[in-house]
Amino acid sequence: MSWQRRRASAGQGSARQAAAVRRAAAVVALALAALLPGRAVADEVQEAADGALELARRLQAEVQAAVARAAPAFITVSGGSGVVISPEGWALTNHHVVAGHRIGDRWWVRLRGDRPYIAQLVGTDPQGDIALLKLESEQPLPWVPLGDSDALRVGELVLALGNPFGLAEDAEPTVTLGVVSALHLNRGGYSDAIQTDAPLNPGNSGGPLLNLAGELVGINGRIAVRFGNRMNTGVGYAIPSKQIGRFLPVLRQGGVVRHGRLQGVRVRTAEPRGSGAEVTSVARDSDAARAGLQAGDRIVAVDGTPVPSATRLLGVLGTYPAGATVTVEVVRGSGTTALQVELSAPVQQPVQGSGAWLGVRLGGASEDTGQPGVEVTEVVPGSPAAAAGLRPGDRIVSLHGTAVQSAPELVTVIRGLEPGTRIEIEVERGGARLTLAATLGRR
Amino acid sequence: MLTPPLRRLGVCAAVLALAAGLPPVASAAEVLAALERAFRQAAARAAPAVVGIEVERDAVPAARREVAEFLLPPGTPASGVVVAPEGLVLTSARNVAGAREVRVVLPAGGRLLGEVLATDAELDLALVRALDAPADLPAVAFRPAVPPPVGSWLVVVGFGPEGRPSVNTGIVSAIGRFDGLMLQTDAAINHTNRGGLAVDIEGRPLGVVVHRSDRVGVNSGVGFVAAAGRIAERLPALSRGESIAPRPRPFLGIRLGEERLDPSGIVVAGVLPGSAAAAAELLAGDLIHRIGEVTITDARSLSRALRRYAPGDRVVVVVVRDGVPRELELVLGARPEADE
Repeated sequence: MSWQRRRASAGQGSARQAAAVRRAAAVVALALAALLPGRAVADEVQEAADGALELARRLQAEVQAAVARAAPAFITVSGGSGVVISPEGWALTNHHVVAGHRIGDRWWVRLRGDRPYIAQLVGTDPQGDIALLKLESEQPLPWVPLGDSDALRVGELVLALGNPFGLAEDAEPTVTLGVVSALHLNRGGYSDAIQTDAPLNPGNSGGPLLNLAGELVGINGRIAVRFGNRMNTGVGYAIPSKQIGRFLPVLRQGGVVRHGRLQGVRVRTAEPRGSGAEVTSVARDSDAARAGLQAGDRIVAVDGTPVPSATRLLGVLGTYPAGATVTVEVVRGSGTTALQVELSAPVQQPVQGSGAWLGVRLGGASEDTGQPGVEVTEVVPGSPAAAAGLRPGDRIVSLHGTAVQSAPELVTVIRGLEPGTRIEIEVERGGARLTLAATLGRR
Repeated sequence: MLTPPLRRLGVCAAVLALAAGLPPVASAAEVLAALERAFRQAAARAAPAVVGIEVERDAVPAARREVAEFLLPPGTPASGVVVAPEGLVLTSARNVAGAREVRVVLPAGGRLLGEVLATDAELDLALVRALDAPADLPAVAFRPAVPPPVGSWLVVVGFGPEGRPSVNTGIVSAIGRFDGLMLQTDAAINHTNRGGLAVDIEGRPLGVVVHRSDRVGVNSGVGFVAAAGRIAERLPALSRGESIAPRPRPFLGIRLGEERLDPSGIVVAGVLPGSAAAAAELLAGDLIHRIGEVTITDARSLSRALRRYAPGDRVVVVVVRDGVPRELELVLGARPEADE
C-alpha cells in the first residue's frame, strides 16, 4: 500500500498531540459562522472549498476499505469477539472470553453474516490473555493477516471490530475508530500493551485492532473503567501482534501455554533513568548465571528491542513463551556483550483443571482502577455459588485464601482445587466486605 | 478552542498520501485542518434545522436519571430536528417521556410551546408540533436512502449553548441494527445532542440521534441513529397523530438449556405452563434443532430465528427427542414486555 511507504517519512507525534488529534476528531463545540443567517452561511460553505471535502472523502474511503477487508473475518465468541487469522480457520480471541472452557472443548461461534461454525479451543495463554481456536470448515475462510505492531506510531489511526453490549445481529461487528494513544505499556497484567481511544466496551474483548491497511496489529482485551461503570472511558488496551506472533507456534501445538521468565536475576532501573536495567544480583545455578549474567551488568536491549528501564525489560520479557531463547545485550565495564538466555517456565502451574466448579460467570474485560477483585456477572441457579449466597454484582476479592484480581486468576485457583473442597470466598458487596462459604461442585 | 492544537500537530501525513491522484500534502497539520473544515462544512448544512427541546417534568426518580444529567446546568436543553417548515419537530421520544410541558427553542432564541403529536416506540422518536411557529422554518427532508458504508464519517449536530450548534464526529459503526431500524455510531452521544441531526461528510441527513437501550452506556462510543429511510417511511403516519407501539415479540415459553453440536441445537430445560411450547407438547429434554427454515446452533440463533415471526404465527419446529427427530407445530405466543 502506497500509504505505508510514505508513512516512514512522516513526522512523529507525541502522545499529547495524538490526544489532541482524537479530541479534534471527537467532541467539538464550535461557534459556527452559521450564527449569521442566510447568505453568510452559504458563503462560509463555499469558502471551505471542495479541497477539504475531497481529502475527507479520501480518508473515509480508506477507512471503509479497511473495514471491508477485515470485517468478513470477524467472529462472535461466547458473548465476546474474535477474528480468523488463516484460511484454514485458526482464530484468535482473549483467554478470558473462553476461560469457562477447557482445552479441546468445541462449541458454536458465528462468522460475520450469522454463519455458525464449530470452534475448538486448541491452545490458550492465560497470562498473555490470548486463546487460539480452530474453526471447522470445509471451505477456506476469510481471514486477516498479522501486521507489525512494532511499526505502529502514537497518533496513528486504528480500527477496532467487536461486539459491544452484544449488539451484533448477524454477527455484524461494531466498528470504532480511534488512534494509538500509547505503546509498550506494562500495565494491568499486560506486558507490552497498545493503548487506544477507539471506543471499547464489554463485548469487544477478543476482537481485532487493525491498522488502516486492514492488518491485525492487536487483540483488544481490557479497558480502564471508573466508578465501577463497565464502559468505555477512552482508554483501551490491546495485546500486540508481535507478542501474539511469538506465541502462535506454541499455541498451535495445543494446551495451556506459559510465559518465559528470566530466572535467577534481580534488576532495578539503572541511573541515569532511561539507560537500562541494572542487574543487582544473580542467583547461583540459575538460568541467568548459566547465560553469563553478572551483578552490575546493565541490560540495554533484548533481541534488539531497547529496554530503558526495569519495567520495560520485564515487559519485553513478558512477550516471550517459556522455552524461548533471547539475546540480551548488556553493558559491562567499558564494553557491551550479547548473551543468549533461555527463558524458562515458572515452577508451579496446574496444567489441566481438576473439574472443580463454582458456578459463576465473571466480568473479565476491565482493569478496574481502584476496584478490587473480579465481578460476578451471573450466578448459575442451583450451583455451589448460589448455595453460598453469591449474587450478580458481587466482587470476589479472594478465594480459598488467594487474592484474585482477574477472571483467569480466579479460574486458575478453582481449577487447582478438588471437587468437594470447602472454600471461603471473600466478597465486596455494596461497599462492605463479606465472607461466604462454598463447597466446590463437579463440572 | 480546537484549531490551535490542530495546527501544532505533526501526525502521519501518510494518512493523506493515500489519496490516489492527489499530490502528497506537505504538512499533516494541513490534512487535519482540511478534515476539520469538512466536518464544519457538513455541520453548517445541518445546523439551521436543529432546535432545542426543553421539558418540565414531575420529579423523576433518581435511579432513572442519567448521571450526565446531574452534571449539566438545570434546564440544559436536549435537541430536535425541524422536519416541516410549519413547525413539526422530531426528537428522541426519551427526551419528552413523562413531560408535563414541552418547549421548542429556536436557534435565534425564540421559545415555543410544543405538543407531542405522536411517538414511535421502535425508532424512539417523538413528533412535536411547535405552536405559533414562525413561517418557513428551515427543515430537513428525510428521504428513503441507501445506508452509508460502515466506516463513513458521521457528524452529529446538536443544540448547543445559546443556540449555537454543538458538533460531535465519528464513524458509522454498523448499519441495520435492531432489524434494520438504526445506524450505530461511535460519535459521542450524550443527553444534550440526543434528538439531534446526524449527517454524512457531504451534509446529507443520515437520521436522528435516539436513545435505544439502557444497557448501552451514555457516551460509551456506542450510539444509535434512527435511519433516514425509516424516518421517511414513518413520518406520514406520525404527522397524522398515529403513534407506533413496540411490535410484540413472539414467545415460545421455554427455559433454555445447553447448546449441542451434533445434532445441533438447544436443549429445553423447562416448559412454561400455558405457553405455546406447552400447547405443542414440547418436553424438557427435547433438543430444538430447527425453527422453520433455520437450523438452530446456539441460544442467540434461536432468538434470531424467532424474530422472523409474530405472535399468532404458526411455525414448524423440529425437535430431537430420545435421539429421534419429530416435527411439532406451534402457534407462537407474545413475549412479555422487557427492556432491551
